[in-house]
Amino acid sequence: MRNALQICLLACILAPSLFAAKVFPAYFGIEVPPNIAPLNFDVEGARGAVRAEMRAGGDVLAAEGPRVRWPAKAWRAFLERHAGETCEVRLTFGDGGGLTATNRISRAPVDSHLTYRLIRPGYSDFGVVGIWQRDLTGFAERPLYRNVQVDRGQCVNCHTYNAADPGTYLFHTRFGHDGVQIVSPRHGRLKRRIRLPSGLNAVYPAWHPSGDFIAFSANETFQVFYEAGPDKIEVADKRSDLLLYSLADDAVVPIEERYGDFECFPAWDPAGRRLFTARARTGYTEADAGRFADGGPGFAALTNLCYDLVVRDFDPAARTFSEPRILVDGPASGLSVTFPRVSPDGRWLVMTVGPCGVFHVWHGAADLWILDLEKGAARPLTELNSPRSESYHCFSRDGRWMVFSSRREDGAYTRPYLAAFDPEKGAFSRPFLLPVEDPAEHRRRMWSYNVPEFSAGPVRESPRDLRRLVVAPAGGK
Amino acid sequence: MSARVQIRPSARLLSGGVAAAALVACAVLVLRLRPVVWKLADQTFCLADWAGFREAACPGLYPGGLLRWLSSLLMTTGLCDACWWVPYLLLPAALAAASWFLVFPRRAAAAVAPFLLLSASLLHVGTSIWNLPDYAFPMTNLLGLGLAYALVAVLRPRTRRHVAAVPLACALCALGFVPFGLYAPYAGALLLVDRLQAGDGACSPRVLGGVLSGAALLVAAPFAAAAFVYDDLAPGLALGYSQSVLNGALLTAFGAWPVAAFLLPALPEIPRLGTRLAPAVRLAVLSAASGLVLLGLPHHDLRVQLRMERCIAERRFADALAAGEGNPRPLRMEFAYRVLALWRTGRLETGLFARPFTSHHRTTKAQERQMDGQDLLFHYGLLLPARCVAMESVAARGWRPGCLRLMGDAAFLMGEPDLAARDWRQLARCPFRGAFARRRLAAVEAGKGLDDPALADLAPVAEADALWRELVRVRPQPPFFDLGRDNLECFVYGRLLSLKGRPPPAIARLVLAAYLLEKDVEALARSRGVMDALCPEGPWPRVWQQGMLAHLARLPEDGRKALVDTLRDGVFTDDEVARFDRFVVEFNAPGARAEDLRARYGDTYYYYDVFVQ
Repeated sequence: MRNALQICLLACILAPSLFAAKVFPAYFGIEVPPNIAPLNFDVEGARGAVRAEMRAGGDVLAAEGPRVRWPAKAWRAFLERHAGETCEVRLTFGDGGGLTATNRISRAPVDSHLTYRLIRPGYSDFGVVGIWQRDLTGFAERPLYRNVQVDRGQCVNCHTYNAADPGTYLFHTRFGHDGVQIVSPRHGRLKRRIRLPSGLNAVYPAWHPSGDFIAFSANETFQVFYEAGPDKIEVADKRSDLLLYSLADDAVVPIEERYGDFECFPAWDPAGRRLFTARARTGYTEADAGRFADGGPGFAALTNLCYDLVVRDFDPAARTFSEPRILVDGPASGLSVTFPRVSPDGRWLVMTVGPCGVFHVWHGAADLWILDLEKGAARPLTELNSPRSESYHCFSRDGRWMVFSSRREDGAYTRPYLAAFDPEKGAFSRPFLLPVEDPAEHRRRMWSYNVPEFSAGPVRESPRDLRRLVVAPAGGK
Repeated sequence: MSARVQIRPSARLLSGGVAAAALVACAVLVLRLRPVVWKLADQTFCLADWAGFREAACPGLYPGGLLRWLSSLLMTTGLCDACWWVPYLLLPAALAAASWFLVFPRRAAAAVAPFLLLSASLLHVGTSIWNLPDYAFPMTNLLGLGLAYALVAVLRPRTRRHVAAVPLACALCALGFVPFGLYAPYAGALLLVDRLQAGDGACSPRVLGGVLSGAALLVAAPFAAAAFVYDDLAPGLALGYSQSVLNGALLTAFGAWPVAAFLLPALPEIPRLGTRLAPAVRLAVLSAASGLVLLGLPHHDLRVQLRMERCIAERRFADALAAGEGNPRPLRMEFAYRVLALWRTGRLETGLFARPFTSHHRTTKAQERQMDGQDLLFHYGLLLPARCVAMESVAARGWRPGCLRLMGDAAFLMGEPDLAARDWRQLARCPFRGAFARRRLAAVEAGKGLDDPALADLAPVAEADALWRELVRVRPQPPFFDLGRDNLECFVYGRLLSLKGRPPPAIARLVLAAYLLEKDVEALARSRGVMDALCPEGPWPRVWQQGMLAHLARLPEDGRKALVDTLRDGVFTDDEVARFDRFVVEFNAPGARAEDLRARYGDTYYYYDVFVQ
């Protein structure tokens, strides 16, 4: 309390400098992992020299501004020494102004790597697309696979790890060497074309914790553009079903093929006994397919669907699923639930919620919510959300951290934000932007960070290895 | 003839060592770094600051990164309206300077001349056939070639065969350009041309010239074809056709060079010019002759352009396209017309957003234009809140500085200042645009509007947006963008207006006349905003009034009233309205005959509309 009063007093005294100076990113009032890369930031508009200090337990780590670059070794040592403690971050300016804030250094390290797709925020033409991996303990970033290795018209997407295991992952390629590229320590490197008997291709994946199965939604997706309104684009499904793919015997098991139920974004619980999905109950039949002609009125209705959150029980031995149970009734609550992800302790489920539709990254009103699976209560994650779109999210392996995509900077370019998670309370700390060596990079990088996924280590395969996998003919059944 | 030069053993050893080292470096680069990575994938987008340079030139990742950054700088410079001429002079000058310092001055002219030819003829963006992905700008390869040539020229290994190309190619590779193989024949050809000019007695000039002619033409021909077919001119060139003439002249000269070298040495020396100037004079004569030949070619761009425009005005869209495709460089035609022609002939794909563009594949520019229509789409996006269209066109074409500027402008006009700030912040890093972008950025970050001087030039665009909304149909239900026929036609005008403030009168009148000729009075009615813009003060031209009256007569009463309400006062004169009313009465009278009406109304549009087939 006293610290808070001091901070407020300091803030009031230093207010004139505060109003003049801007800090980007504002790494204040956050909780940081002990192994995170230095949280460099820039101070703009400060008068005179800028000095930044971090103080904890009598230790002081200092750096000069206005471009504050913490020395890497000293930073790491400082965090390791003071893990579990709070530290004071103090900015002083040459004119006597400054800023003081308090950060907390967590004991729980974050997974060492973050994988994402770098893509321009375009709509049909994706040009150069690649999957990149970033070392979160430093600033090294390397490509895993880029479409220019094969064909610039190729789309690369849906990279997913199994429980942050860098040795078990998959990604899709489309519009050239189509298929699902799977890397698994037990099953090797596979390229498959996975689809339902109806012909729908597997799209959004979810690894079963055992590593033996992958649940996919199989979607027929389209996109349209708004002539007016705050949102630019709408992506919706004309049809989506569920399937289970078994790596051991290369078998495809349909989970849900009812035409009128659009199921999407599967996610497993940590035990692998329950499968969560987003589902829209449309009531459509195959006879309605003609209504979805581009631009027609039925077409518009698809974009207004509200998705439920449903769960099925899974018997891995029999490979069977129970009937779905509704956990969140989308239409009844006036919301549309997508991207369910269960925390590693199995108690919490974070989801992306928007007013309607299924592809919330394009909805400015989309926010993150959390559902207590034990008590059944859901709330918006106000500590994470912003007036602009928050969408894709991923828990770290131990569940103490989460990364999510946000367009809060400008509404178009997605950036990853990290936040600490308190599993006891089901609450997050204030999120912070992915640290980079030069913070101006976030403002000048003309790429969106798409589908950020934690991994506990670097991927061993080289771009050349993955290229060989991509261009190989799809095997299996 | 000069005496045969003895090659020092140390020089042979050194050149051999250089070649071997270059080969090893090449092998290493190919094997280890071939899946090259490039975060800023657009060579037209040079970021002239340390961060941009570091990303571009990182030696660990990007072979030849330094020269690649240089190429992007040159290309970006070439795209600047005010400075487009810089790379055209800079690089040949650099080559000439390098040759001058590294080669005996007496031979400098001979050494430089072929490079000047080759480099000037290839100073274009997008000559993609000779480029690897991520290595777009050919001039860097040529620079590497030039430097390698200079290096070899210094060592002067005397060889009688094209093996001289090998050290050149290896040196090129050592500079980081893997596709050296494509340039090896050029390297060898250039060396031999040089040797031929030197006139040393290593071999018979005629035999050598003959061999060289065949080899160089064999290699030059695809270069010429590539430049013609794949070429894309830098925007902002006012005298476009003259540049194509220059290109053609230089390419022809390059291809004809070995022929000339073979033939001309047999001709007597031009008197009083001396041996030093004679080659230069021969070169100049060749170039001029080539240019004159090209001017007369039936496929000259200017003629094609005029022919296409005439066909468009006469609504002969298929003929317009055919005229353009006879010359694979239909680049002078007003782009809007081209898209209009493609649309009318059903060859413009309507499902532009139903699948990804493949415009990055190696296609001809004509085909790319057919596929993406990016300029039009951009400006359509500028006019509509659907900025995605603008973004799409940029994505299809590439992040050139001009596109980035337009993107920022579009974001600002559509009420997204944060996004505009990002675009302009990036633009501020580009050479020659920094000051402009910083002014815009400062204004938007301070929350300024269109009244701020830094943003004031956007005001006419915003006004044009309001004007064109009456033309562009914005349908509330369904709320989706549809590149429909009606929108596209209005959009053609929209593009003209948004680009130039008002449509170029000649073009606008041509298209309006075309509507009248084709009796498309609905299209004419939709273009009333255009007609108002062309005639802001007084009434419309007589034929436009008559066309609109003809259209009004076809509408039901409530439709007519609705349309009349949107027409501004003063577009019709009392005389024309009265005359039209008389025509309607006489036309509807029992026993009305065309011959009778022709005598009184034969000079009117509505007579033509009704009676002329």
